[in-house]
Amino acid sequence: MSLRSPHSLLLSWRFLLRDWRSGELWLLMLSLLMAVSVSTSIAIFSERLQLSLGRQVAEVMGADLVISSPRPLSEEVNEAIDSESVEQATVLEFPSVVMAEEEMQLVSAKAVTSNYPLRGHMRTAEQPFAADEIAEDTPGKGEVWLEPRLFPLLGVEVGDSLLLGEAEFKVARAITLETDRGSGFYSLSPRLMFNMDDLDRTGIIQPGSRVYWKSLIAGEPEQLKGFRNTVEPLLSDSEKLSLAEDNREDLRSSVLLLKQFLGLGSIAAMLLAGIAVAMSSRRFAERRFDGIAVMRCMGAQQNQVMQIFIGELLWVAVLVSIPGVLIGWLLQTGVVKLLAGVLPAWLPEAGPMPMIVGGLTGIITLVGFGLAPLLRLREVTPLRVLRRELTPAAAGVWSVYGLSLISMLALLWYHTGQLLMTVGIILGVTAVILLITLAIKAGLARVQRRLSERPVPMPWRLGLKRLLQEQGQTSAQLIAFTLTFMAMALVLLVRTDLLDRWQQQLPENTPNYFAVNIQPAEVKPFQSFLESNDIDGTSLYPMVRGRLVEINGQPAKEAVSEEQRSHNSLNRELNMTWSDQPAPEDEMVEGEWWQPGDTGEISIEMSIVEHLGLKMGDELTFMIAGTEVDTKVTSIREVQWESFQPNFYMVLPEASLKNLPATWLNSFHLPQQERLVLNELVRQFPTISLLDMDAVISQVQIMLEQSILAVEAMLLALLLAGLLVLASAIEASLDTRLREGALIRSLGGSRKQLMVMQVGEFFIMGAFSGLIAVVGTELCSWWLNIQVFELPWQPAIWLWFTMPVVSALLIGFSGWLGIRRVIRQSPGVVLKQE
Amino acid sequence: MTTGTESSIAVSAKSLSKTVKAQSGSLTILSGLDLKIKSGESVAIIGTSGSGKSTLLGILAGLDQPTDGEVALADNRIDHLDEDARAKVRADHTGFVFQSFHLLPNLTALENVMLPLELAGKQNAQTQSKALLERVGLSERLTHYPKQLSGGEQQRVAIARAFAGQPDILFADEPTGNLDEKTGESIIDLLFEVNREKKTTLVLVTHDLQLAQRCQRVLKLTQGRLEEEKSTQNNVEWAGEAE
Repeated sequence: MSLRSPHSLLLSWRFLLRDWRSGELWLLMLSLLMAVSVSTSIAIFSERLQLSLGRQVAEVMGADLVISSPRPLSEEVNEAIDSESVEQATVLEFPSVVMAEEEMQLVSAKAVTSNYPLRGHMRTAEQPFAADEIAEDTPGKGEVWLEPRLFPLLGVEVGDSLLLGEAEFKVARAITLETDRGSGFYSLSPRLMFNMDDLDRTGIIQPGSRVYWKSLIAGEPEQLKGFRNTVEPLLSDSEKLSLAEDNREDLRSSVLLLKQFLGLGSIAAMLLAGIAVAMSSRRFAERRFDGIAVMRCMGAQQNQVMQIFIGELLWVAVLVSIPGVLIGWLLQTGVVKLLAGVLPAWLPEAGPMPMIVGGLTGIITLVGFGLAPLLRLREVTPLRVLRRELTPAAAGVWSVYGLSLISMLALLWYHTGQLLMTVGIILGVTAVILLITLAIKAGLARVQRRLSERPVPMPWRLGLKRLLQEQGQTSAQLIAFTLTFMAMALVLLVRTDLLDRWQQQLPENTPNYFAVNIQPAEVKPFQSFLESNDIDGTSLYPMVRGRLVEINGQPAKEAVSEEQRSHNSLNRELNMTWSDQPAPEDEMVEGEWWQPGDTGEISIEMSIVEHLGLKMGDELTFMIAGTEVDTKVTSIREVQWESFQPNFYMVLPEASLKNLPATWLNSFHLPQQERLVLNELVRQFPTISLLDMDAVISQVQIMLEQSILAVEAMLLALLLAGLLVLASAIEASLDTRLREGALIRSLGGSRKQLMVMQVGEFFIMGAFSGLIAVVGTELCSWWLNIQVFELPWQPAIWLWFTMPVVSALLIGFSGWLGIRRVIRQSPGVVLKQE
Repeated sequence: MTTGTESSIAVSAKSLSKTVKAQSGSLTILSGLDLKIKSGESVAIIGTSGSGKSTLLGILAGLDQPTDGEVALADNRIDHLDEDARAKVRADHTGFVFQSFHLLPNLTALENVMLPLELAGKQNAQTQSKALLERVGLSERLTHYPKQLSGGEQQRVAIARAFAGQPDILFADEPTGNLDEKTGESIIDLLFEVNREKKTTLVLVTHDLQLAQRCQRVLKLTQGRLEEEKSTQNNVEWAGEAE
């Protein structure tokens, strides 16, 4: 229905002012305000959080975006970098030999420009393994920074000189954290870092040298998007672009979970606000039947009436959207301020989109949830002025729920960005509503039978009778209550599961160091070193490096599609281990583990299977230290990458690998204050590479804390929305209750009887909806945990006992609050108003 | 039962029937009813409870449709019109006063009177409405809401509202039914006074014989048909009726 007539628009504005003045609209406005502000604040907050998490990942990577290549970047790419207004730092990595006075050592040298890194920080210390601090600069001209373990290996101290290529450098500091040293660390030699300006002086880089170029890029999200679009088509096969968002599986899965949870929370909150809108708008419509009948008598046409009242509500939506967006913005600003200590100081501002969508939510919610009851206004006959019982038929179930579901679909799709999940949720909600309706119908039928079989005290009987007689309204209220409790319980349950999962992910004593490249002969001494120093270390894992050369008898690169050919696993050596049982964290997707002594089998990680299009039974041949090893895929695993435990793509039986050259890998936890012991470790085991994961772990920890806070805030918003639904539902039935209460009082009913009757009715509805909500909650949480969050599920037994009681008490109490007026009101006043 | 000439007929009905579905089959409320009301005439329709007075009023005023027969309002046949077309005829020609006042509870007295003018998109709604409220003695009550007014005052507002659209025909359904005797009388006085001033045709449905007697004609509805109870001369003075 469009408002074509300016006259109707003006009239609807007048009606709005009049209704506002007489206090008719506040509940509807409040519900809409809730929908708009919740939607806005969640949209803004999650976008900011998303951006900030992206930045946090970027910190680990040193940039928002990295282009890497075995050759200098092509002219076109360099021009693109210059022409787009993004920041750039250049990094060059190559293996080289460094010479100190007495020692020589293979190092992984890294030349950096002085603006390196663009995101995050390096940390350095004055001495190896001493307390470190954020590095404000990069190595100066003529200086090198070394990884701590290089000091004992080269026998140098800070201030000593060493030779790299033809140039002499002074050792200036120890690098304790290098931001972008994320992946592929198993093969790294110890790090030596120097200034790019000294590169020519070393004379090392010649045509054909093995060099790895990296261009680190940073900028605002919009700039990056533009840059990416420009540059991507220019890249050659060997130039690889990686985004912060695509990196760090461990951080990413947490971000995804949080985003999904916030999505779920906002769905629930908006659904509740929507229900409140539906109830208020139903009351709005019903209270206008008489007035509209009069207006129709005066000659107003159906369309004119519709235009006036729909126009009035559109005005409401527009007027509410503005303060709603403002409140939403303030809310999230408040949350951000409140959490200043936890959130990163540079939480980026969100774009205008969340605010626009937040504002539109008002109109979408109103149309979706409020339109169906309003359509009844069209059917009001003018004859109602003479025969008041001529009430328009109740809005069709499908128009009520259909419209709401469609509007929810639109909002959810925006908030979650996942069509499939959204459709899933919508179907789920539809199924739940159907189930609730059936359960309510069955329940009410049972009550009716009971009522006719045995006597029930009068006040209870009246309450129950009313529930039964007005089944339509009773069902609507029960559905609203049930959905409210379900949404709240569901979010509470999932929140608990999520928190558990996050805590599991980073238990105390999460390994913060990885020791790699432990030689077979060093395994025993290494273990006893850890034991004698009271270091909490996991078991040791053997590691064999090999290349995948054939798939089902065909050369690997020919066996896969062109797109798959560039996948990392075909272009580098893979880390493999042997084990006669699967890692406890891993989940078997397909197949079975081998028996000890078996050979020729392999277990592969899921993502590789997907990337290379492999399947069970495929035959893979690896080249390991000059030996071909034939295997057959007999199991596929899903690996918990965020567990901070050593994980492997390929696992083989011990018998297949034990005669091949292997090194060992270990991860252990070392408290900050005991770090100096590492000096000794490196001296005793000079060939071992040590990786410090503390920085990454603390980043993840901060992120989890943020996530938990966001989750709690969500729950609070949901609680408010739930209370709003209760208020709307009670308010919606107030007119009938006032009338009925007055009648009963005028017939000599005592206040107490009235109280038992009215509050009892709410109490029964509360208990009943609580019971149905438990069933619904369990079904939904099962589905969400298994399908969406991939969390283990178990029934929440406590919920079965608490929920019906809590909801009965809550609804009973809210009902009492709402209808005190009914009980106090003098019957004369009420009946006179009739 | 015909009075006056065809050209000045305000309300007419011919062979009017109304049958409704009831639990025990169909129920005939009006059957073959004929009626003509001249412009400017005041006519009371009386009958016992359940005789179909209100149904007849609804059909004559274009709020409802007959099952059979013809109805015309101010020379417009309305029996075959759809609801929106009838609404247009109502807007142009009719005003209503009801037993239960039917004021909009969230509009003030003034706004209630303005409503028909606003709906018709008329200018000066406020000035005209103020004048009307003054005429019915409520100039001090403009900003009061219905619930702040007594029953008599509410009905005065309703009368002012009924005349706001300058109708040709005023339909009144038991206008004193919810009022005590004294208030009822003063309201009826007012209704007849304003009716006379505005030269409106008045169709009044009541079971109050005393009230009915104040009209020029009294028609009694029995078994679905009208019988003339009182017929006055065409040239009766309005002034004589009102006192």
